[in-house]
Amino acid sequence: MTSHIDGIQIWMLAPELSVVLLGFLVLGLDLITHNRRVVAATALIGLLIPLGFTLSLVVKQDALTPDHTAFFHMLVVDGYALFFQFLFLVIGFGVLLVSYGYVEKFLRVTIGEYYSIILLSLAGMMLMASTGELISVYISLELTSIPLYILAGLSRSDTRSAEAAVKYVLLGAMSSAILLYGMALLYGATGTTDLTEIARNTQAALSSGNLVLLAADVFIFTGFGFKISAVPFHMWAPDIYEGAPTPSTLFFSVGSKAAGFAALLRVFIFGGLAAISGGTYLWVMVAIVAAVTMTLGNVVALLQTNIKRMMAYSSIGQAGYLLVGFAAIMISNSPAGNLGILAFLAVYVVTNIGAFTGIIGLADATGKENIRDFDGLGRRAPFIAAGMGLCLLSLAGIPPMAGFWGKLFILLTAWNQGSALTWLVVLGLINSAISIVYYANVVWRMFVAEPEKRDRLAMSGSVTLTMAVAVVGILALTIAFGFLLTGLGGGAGGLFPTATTP
Amino acid sequence: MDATLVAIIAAVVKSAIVIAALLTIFAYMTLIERRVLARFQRRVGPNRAGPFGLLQPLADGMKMAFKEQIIPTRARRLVFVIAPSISVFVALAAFAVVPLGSPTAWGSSPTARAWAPLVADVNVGILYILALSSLAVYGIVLGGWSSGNHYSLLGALRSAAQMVSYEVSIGLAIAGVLMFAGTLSMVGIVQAQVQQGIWFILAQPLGFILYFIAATAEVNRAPFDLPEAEQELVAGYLTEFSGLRWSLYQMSEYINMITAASVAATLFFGGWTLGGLDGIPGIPFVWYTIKVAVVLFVFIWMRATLPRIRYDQLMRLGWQLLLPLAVLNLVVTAAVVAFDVPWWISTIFSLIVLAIGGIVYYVRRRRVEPSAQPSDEALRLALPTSVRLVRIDSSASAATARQPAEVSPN
Amino acid sequence: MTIDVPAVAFWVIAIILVGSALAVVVMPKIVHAALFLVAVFGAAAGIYVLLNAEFIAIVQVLIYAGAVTILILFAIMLTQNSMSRVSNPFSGQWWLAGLICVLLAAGIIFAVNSSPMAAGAASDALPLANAAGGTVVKLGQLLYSPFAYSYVLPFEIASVVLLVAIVGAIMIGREE
Repeated sequence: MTSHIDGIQIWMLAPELSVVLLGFLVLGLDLITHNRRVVAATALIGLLIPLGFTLSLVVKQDALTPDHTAFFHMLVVDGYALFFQFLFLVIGFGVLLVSYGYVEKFLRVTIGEYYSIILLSLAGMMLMASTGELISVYISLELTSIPLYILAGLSRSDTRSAEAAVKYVLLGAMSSAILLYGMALLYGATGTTDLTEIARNTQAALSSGNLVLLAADVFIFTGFGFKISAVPFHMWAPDIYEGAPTPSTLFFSVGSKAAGFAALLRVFIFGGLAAISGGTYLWVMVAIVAAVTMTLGNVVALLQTNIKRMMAYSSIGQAGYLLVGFAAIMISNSPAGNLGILAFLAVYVVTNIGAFTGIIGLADATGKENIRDFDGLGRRAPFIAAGMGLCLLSLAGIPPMAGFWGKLFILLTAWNQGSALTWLVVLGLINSAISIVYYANVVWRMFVAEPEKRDRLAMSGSVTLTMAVAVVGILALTIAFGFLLTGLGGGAGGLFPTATTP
Repeated sequence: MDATLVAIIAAVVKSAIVIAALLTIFAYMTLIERRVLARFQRRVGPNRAGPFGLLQPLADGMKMAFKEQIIPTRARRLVFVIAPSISVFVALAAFAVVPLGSPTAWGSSPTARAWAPLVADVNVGILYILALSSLAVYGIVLGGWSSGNHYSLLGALRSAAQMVSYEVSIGLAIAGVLMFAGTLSMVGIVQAQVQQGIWFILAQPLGFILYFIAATAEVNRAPFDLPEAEQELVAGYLTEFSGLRWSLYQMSEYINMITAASVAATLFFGGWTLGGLDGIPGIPFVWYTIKVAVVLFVFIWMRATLPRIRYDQLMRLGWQLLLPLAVLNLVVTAAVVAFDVPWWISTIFSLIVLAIGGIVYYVRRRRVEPSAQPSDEALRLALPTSVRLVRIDSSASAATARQPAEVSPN
Repeated sequence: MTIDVPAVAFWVIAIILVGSALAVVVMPKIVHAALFLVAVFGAAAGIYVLLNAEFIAIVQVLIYAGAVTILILFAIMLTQNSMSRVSNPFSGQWWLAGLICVLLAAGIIFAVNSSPMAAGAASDALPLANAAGGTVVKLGQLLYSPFAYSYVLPFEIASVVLLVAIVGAIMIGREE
């Protein structure tokens, strides 16, 4: 263990640190200038700084501390963390860009406040992926969540928004309490909050069939289950997605979910909790949750009339696929399955940004957000409609879109675990088929159905730009995965240089 | 005898002594305050009962004891009856860690130590006082709420907001002293002052002033006695209380004041010590009493001198002036302690801040809007400088004066 | 006759703690529930004292009983006529919640009693547990020290959390 904090450790924290400082800068800039463009440009260009730091950490991995940890094992800068940092920066860029017009039109807050809240939440997400210690995980989770509660309630003239905020705060507090209870049990059983130490101690405790560890596992999984909206804990998602301002909804659906998975995987694999489950069949619980989550999300999504509620259930369904991958990891107890989850998350993030960009574009122009309002969008705003259609098809998993490859990776990982998860893979395929119905419905309405009005919709520059970026991202991911697929069996564990302890 | 048993007996006896003493002091504090206030106002004050009015508290006590204790019909009975006791209990409990003399003078054996002149030497003593004084608000809030009277409720809510706001400033203001002392124990802080050869007020003038202002607000004394502002709220949370329950609230207010003065004496003026004379038995207690008395006199002096401030001014003062200054003081003190530079660096800094504050205050006084000047032509009145009127638009008042004449022809 | 004073004290405090916590949930009037919350915090502080953590105990009283609950009471008293009706109503499914809670509690108690807890490992892992006196100094070092094992990173994150909360409260609460 490194004995004291030095420049290298500060550098390892630099991506998060610079995002926090950028948040402060944007907040302060609001006081000096009333020019919204200047503030927005500062935030967007400023995001290149943390990106640069992240890339510098990727390139200079050898110059880091030997075990890739800093601040007494509390910060872990491995490939996994860097991947998520990169992903979160992309999310931040997309959310900031797409909400530029919306904030001015619908929210009574200044752009600097709005951006600073998002940036600070983003820093929390990045920390969630890169902390190796329970207290830090929890505090980062709060740093992520509190801005999200605020973002849900920002549309103050709208009672639905207030309702969303209150529900989010209450359920968020409850899930945090459950998570903390699990962490307390884990601390009691292992005597440390350091995940590496926990992994070492659980190996010792494994043989004696430690029920406290099992209880801690269940509690922690439940706590994160709220954050990723897995099924018994999903009730908040549709109401909050519907009530919150749409750019906030986008941020919940990509940022919060990715951060939840990042921390879940970090705690369970880095902390050796998956190893306990190998002994006590905890993976069965995860597999059942995954099955229910997929099925409920996709089936209920069929019945929705509001596009944001539909996307909420769709994101629940997507969480189900991700949990399939998680169950596979728990069985194999090897980080090899990670690549599937990470790939799926990357695709999910980019496609969801694209899909929500379409929704925000329509809301910007007409203020409507029902599924039937998308009638004839293909003629009224061709580029936005085309991009959104692409994203929805990718979410449905139509080959050869990126979403298809993501799903394929995950289901393949599960398939490779042998007969235990075969039923789950089959269920995943059935769900995929179901999901095509409601995704295709929106696409059909956009391009085939007759609109009430035929006027061209004026889309703001920020929406068009975001959509362009998302489309390029999807195409790039599609092509990249086509090549990557062959390498899946091989060095997939490379993202976890120090993770596996045994 | 068993040391534990001795400790328990000693604690009980000392608590009893402290409680009895505090109740007596409270009674005479009311007399002293009335006499001193009378002097300030060129009156005589109560002097009928006994020589110099010394039996006045006794007479007051008997009057209070025999007064009817009214419980309003809309009151929530249980809480209404309990609330004054909560106030007194918390106030008395907070005094437990105040050292009236040096524990080391009592010898080193545990049985001898048990009789040291403070009820308990808790190693987080100052925090203990802060915690209990933060609980003092419950007596007021519950009393005001349970009265079933809107004035009482408003007084209680004011009190809650005021105390929560100023607690933060108190904590940060004394943090500078705690850094110099390196301990949270009240005894330890006094000993640290002896060791370093200074009273901490010399190193922390700014901290002391911040503490004093915030403590005045925390014990609801003038000019921060908004919870019982009679012009606006009848008597605030006290409105519905009478007889002994009313005097219990008075008691807790005075005891809180004594505790705040004791903390000031201990933290900033060296507690029971002065010039090495504290070896003589009895002398430490005399020093302590003198120091507390001086601080208490300043409390009364302020009440006689300063007008009550408005509620928004109170909040602005707390959050926008005291809190930032306390943080600034904290940062500078932290730097002084961390880099091990002489203590007078922080003194100089404090004095500079105070000088800047004084200049700003003076300049702003000079630039009061012309129409809000103390002597307003429209009123043809010479008002004291402490009164700032709202802007009186003389043309508007002239217009209203003309109006009847224009209306009457119709 | 020897009485294990800390054990007796623990059970007394624990019963008060759990009882008050239950009262917070079941009290029909919200102000009474809030007042029992004070008792919960006070009893928790008592448990901390038994664990030789005086600093945490005092801070618990100072912050939770002295400030947080007062603000809760403040909000309750300002927003509604808090005694006029049942202001802390029950959900219709309270029996289900109660059943789940009982099962959960039984499960955890069984698990904790049947499994080894890492009491020894804890004292090895943390320097704090070895500190007999002066827990405040040790606590400070454990929170801020850049030279020895310390929780300086989560501490700094927590300060950002507070900042976010302040900014957010202003954004939500500010008048139009």
